[in-house]
Amino acid sequence: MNQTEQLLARFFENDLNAAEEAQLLSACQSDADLRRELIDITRVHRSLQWLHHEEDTPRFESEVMMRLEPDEIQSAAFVAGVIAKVHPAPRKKSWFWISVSAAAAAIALLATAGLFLNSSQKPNVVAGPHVAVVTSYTGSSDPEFKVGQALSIGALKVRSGSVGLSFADGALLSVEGPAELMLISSGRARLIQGKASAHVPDGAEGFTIETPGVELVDLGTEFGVSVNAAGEADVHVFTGEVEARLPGDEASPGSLVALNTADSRRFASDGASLGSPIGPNDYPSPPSPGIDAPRTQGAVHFLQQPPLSVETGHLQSNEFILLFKERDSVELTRETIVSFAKPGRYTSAQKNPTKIRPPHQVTSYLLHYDPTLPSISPSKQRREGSVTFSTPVVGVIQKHMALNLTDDLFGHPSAVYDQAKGRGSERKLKDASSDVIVLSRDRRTLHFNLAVSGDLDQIRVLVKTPDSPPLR
Amino acid sequence: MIIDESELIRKAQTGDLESFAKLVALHQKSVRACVAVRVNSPHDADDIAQEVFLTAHRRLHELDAGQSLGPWLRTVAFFILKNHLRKLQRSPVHAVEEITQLADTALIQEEPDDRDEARMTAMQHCLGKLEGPARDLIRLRYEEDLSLQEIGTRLNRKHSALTMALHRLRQSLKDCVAARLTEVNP
Repeated sequence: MNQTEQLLARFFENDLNAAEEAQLLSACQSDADLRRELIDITRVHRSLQWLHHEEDTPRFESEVMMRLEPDEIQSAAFVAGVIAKVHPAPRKKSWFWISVSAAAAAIALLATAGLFLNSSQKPNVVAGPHVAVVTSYTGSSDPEFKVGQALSIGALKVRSGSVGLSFADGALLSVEGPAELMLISSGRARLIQGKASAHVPDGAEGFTIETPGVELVDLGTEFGVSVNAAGEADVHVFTGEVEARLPGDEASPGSLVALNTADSRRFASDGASLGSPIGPNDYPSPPSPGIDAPRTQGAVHFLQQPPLSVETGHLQSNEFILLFKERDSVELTRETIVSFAKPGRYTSAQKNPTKIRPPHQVTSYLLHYDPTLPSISPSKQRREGSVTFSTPVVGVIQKHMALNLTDDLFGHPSAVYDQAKGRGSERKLKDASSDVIVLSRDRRTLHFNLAVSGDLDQIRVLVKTPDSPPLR
Repeated sequence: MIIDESELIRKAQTGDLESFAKLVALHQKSVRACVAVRVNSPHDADDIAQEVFLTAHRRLHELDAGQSLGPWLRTVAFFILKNHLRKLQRSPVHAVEEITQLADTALIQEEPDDRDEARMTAMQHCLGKLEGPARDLIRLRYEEDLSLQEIGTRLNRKHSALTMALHRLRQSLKDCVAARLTEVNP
């Protein structure tokens, strides 16, 4: 191999110093054959990059649809609907979907393990993918629950107070202590004892709560369920429809009972219907999101309360991207630098920051994603989700310096932030792990596609405060 | 499934988004392949490929009845790629960027044909024929995105030897793709 060819070989490995670069450039300019070689090998090199680059066709298509013109409806749900129709093949619900037999095995194991657990031991941790996240906790005697903590398959004991959970498939559950339940999968839980209420948004239908005598399958609704010490289950449908599946066996499958708005029932532990269920006010209030609350989809989950800390390693999960409100109605008195403010597609390599000018009244949110995979071997896995706000996004801050500088102004007053580490979603590794954010044309929906690598990603979103004067 | 493209185009022209999404699904691979070989960063490439479809959506009414979408999309892609390169050339660059732009300029002066997707398919075929150490080397370099230093530690080979081995592999893949293309489509 002659000297210029060696230079060319090293060029594709980013291995030339400035003098060698200049030498190769002038050689390419004067030698037509070498230039041809450069062009041909560039094509090969890029083809290899592209072919090994994650081929994520549905993501590409949904991003195109998100970026379309303003007069079309741009909600994430709408785009997801269109994409689902274009790809009619059953798509994997989520990568951490657990096969029925594996889940059953895990439950059997847990049930056995449960016999040996006394109440002073931590019951809620089993290694494996997370299926739900704690979105709120009221009550002080149970330090095991922290807001933003992701939970794996396993037993969950709520001694007192009330815990809000968001399941990976989208259902919200509010559990009132004392209660005992078992998380079975990203869309299924068993209530062993205690009270709970569920809110199941569009797209999360099929969420199931098992009780000793009956299985309650949600068809898009709000309902309360309560299991007493005798194993009797009460159910009340606040709105929508619930399907109660009574026990059966292979010879005679159990029958189905449809329960509609305002219906209530009591089921014995063998599934028989009993009289006098408890009244609607005896259940915890359903965890319905407020009108102004952001609507999340996919891997993004909204925390009703702010977490105590968003430092690296404090709230780790590969499955859950967390979002919480930091501060309401911040009056901007001077120019604020943000990573971007206009609709479009942005990668973490984004270079040109922009300014938002006063007057503006904004509400800040923080998106937090802290996966557990080691950063040395970048994973090709991505986690995707979106959030739709009730008011337009005014600016997005994704660089770690800018996040540090704006913690005082926009950060939640009581949350602990990590100012030391590279917390932004800027590019830290090679291209393959670059994060992608899309702001829809109506500026209300942000779509995130984040790399599952070991680095903390935080993105601060400023939205117009509801009912504040219109934007200039 | 038989898809009548002209029917989809007609519906998309009247604002039917589902039809447009289907057209994106049909043509994304060829547009992405065309853009990917002409842009240095794979992530810029997807951004530009999306812009191609956004522009196409805005100007879909310019497409005549019966005109096929593929060649038209490639023309749009080349137009956007030229603009992108012009923007890059305006800012001051180092020699390394000038070398890249030399290649970029030549690649967008080609005729926008439909061979990029065929080349990708041929490349996949050629990659499939690689064996043992060659396949490992390509995989570590392009799939795992490891640096040459990391690859050297794993394979216990010297940096300079790996550089040359990768270069020769790219050269032989180039020859293989050319041969495959004449074989499939003489």
